[in-house]
This record gives sequence, C-alpha cells and structure tokens, in this order.
Amino acid sequence: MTAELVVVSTIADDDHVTGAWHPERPARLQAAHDGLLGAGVDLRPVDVRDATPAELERVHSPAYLRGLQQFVDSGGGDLDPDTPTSSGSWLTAVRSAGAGLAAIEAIRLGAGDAAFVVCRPPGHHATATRAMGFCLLNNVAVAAASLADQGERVLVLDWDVHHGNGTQDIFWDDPRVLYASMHEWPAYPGTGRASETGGPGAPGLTVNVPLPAGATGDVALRAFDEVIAPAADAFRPSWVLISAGFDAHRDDPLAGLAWSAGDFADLARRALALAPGRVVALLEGGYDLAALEGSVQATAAALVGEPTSTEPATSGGPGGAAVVAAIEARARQQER
Amino acid sequence: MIDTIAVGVDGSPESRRAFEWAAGLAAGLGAGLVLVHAVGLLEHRDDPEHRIAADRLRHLVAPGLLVEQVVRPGDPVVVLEAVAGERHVDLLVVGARGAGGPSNALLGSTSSQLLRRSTIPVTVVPAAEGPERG
Repeated sequence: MTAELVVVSTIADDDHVTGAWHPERPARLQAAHDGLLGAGVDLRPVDVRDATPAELERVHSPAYLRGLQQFVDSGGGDLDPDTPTSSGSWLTAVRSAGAGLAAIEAIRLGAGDAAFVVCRPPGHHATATRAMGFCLLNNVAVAAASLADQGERVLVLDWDVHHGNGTQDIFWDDPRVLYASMHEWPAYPGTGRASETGGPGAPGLTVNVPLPAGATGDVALRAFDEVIAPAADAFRPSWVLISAGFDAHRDDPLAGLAWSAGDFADLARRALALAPGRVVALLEGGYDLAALEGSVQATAAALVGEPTSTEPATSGGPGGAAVVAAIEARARQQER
Repeated sequence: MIDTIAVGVDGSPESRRAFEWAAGLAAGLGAGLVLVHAVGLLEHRDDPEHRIAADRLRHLVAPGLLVEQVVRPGDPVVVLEAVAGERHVDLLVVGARGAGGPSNALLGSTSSQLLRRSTIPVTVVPAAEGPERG
C-alpha cells in the first residue's frame, strides 16, 4: 500500500500582510503547495483549526499573547525592523499555531503516515515573551508542548538556516523535548553555539551544530549522523517535529548555506527513521520561491518513502571542523 | 569601576541619543566605548554602510577616546549580551526604543529584554522628547 501524506494548510485564511518588499510573503504558501502537488505522492488534505488560548499558553506568557493581540487589533505595525504585522496577523498566527495540532490529530486518527504543514508566519524565533525574526507565535513549540503534555517524547529537528532561538529557549529546561538544530553561523539571531546544550533540568537535550557559510548537504548529513542521531537514539523520541525551513538552499537570498532539494530529502528520510508514522514537518523559512517549491517537493516525497527526482544532493563545501566541534561539545556535556 | 561601555546603535534617533550619552560618559570616566550594531534578517551582513554609519559616530566622539566597533549578524539583545561577555563590558547603554519598535511595553523592546536578562548594569536613554508633565 502506498504511504499517504497528511497536508494541513493555512493558505485559505492567510491575512498576514508583510508588504510587497518583504521576503516572508504570502506567495511562499503557494510555492509550497506547488511543491506538494508536484511530489507525486498521495496527499490527504485535512482541515486546519485555530490553536486555543490554553494551547498557546503552554509556550507563551498570557501577557505576551494579550499584548500581541492588542497591538495587532489596533492596526498592527512593525514589532521590530524585521517583523511587520497587519490587522489580520493575530488570527493568521493563531491558525498557523493550530495547523501543527491538526496535523498531529489527523495522524493519530490514521489519516496518513506523515504530515506536512504549510503555514506562515514562521515560528521558531518567537520566544515565550517576544516576537522576532518574522515570527509571532512559535508553531512548532505549540505542537511539541501539546504532545509533551500527553506524555510523548518529542524531538524537534530544526533544519531552517537560522537557529531557532525561541524553540530552544522554550524547551531549554524541559526533559520531555529534545531540540536539535543545524544552522549557519555566524548569522541571525546569534544564538545556537555548540556549547548551548540545555538547562539543568534537561542536560544534553539541546543540540546545536553551527555550520559555516558554504556548507553543503554532505556536511549536514554528517552533522545529523554523528551529532543529532546519537542524541536522538539516547532520547528515544515518540514523535519527530521538523522545523522545516528551506532557506539553507543555495539559492536562498537571506543566507549562505549551499544545500539543494536533494539534501532536504536525505534529511527527511533520516528523520522518518527516528519515529516512523509519527513525523510532522512544519514550514518555517525559505524565501526563494523556486527553491522552496523544489525543496518541499523533495521533502514531501521523502516523508512517505518515495524517490525524488529534483536536484541531486550536494557535497564538497566547508564545515567538517564545525561538525567535529559539535561532537566534542556533546562529549564534554556528557562528561559533566 | 567602569572601564568599558557598550552602546547599541541601529541608525535610529533613539540609538543616536544613547550613543551621545554613552560617549559623554566614557569621555568623563576615561572608559573605552564599544559601538555594537546587530545586523537583522533583512539587512545585508556585509553591507559597507554598517561600517560607514558606525564610523560616522566614531568620529563624533572626543579625541583620545578609545572606540571600537562591532558589526555582527543577530538579534540586538543576543549580540549585546555576547559582546558584553567577550569584551568585559561594565555598562550597556541602549535607546528607549530602537528602530520600528512598538509602543506596547508588553511586547518587549530590546531595552526591556536587556533590563530583564542582563547580568551587568543597563542604562536606557529616554527619547529626546518625553511626555508632557502637568
């Protein structure tokens, strides 16, 4: 029997207006849809739903949620130089935060074998108390916290090119969630050193592999195999949530890694092996529309075990030393 | 003892005012001054304008004042904290509201985040025109 991919999308309700010049724009959702449709896999569309206040408050402070809603309801504006909002941003963000929850519920009901969530604004920079870096509500954290509250052990695998400081911060001291990120360094937001390994209540449950500009997919796979996979094997996740940004693609205008669509497919296959039947990918960044479409296509196919015919995987870039440094940082943490 | 002062600069009038205040204090104390520009997601990291802007400020300070500039990609709070640790900074200075920040205090500006998190003293320089007093 062919595996099926649950798809949850906020495209019909997208009212988060960032301005014509902003790279985090509504057209990204259509590009992701085109990628899914081009993947040649069995898609199972599922209705999206809003996150409830209680679900949001698992990761955000009530004061922050109230302040954000009031700011947006009064017309919106720039939260920082990177992060504009419009009058529809609150409802769009609440729906994006609910999309991951809908995907999890659908998989639990047997609607498919893995899920891809098409949503914006992205979430992984949003902390418990602060919007930043295009992000308002932390979509993946809302989903992970919901699972954790139901007794699940959650790996958040963050392959967006930027470090997910918000997600790391939210689960820093939470032993129910393993946060693992590969990202460009140095780059925005400036967090994500290999030495950041988790709080006293969750030692070793934050894993960071900062990679230099130009790093190719072979380095990412090595980082996964030699740093993230051992941490995941020890943690034994029951679910894997992927913060699936596609801005590590070599064509992305905002960053400097040199991955291809084929590299994302290789990473997705590895993620799938960690928790078969319990993997949800949520869209984060990715600002070149063609690269986004091709990368989503490759990832979607890989998530249901299908071959992909998009760009081949990349190799030959720098970053081997960064992987070794991350291995050593993990070893030092384990000695403590 | 204040040997090193770091000030966040982002091109906004508020950060210019924070810089002027910090430069005056550094000159008075004989302290070194570090100009810190955190480059956001939408700015080009290697844009020479960042250095030129910092250079302009640098030339405004009193002769003999030791001034260093740091231009680094990242969130202002994260970069200011990192630079404070690396350079043994004794005092962080920021404007009350950086470029584009909301007036809604619940949302956490750079200054309020720093006040909450910083392990060294923070000075927040108010905007030029404060609220009217009755």
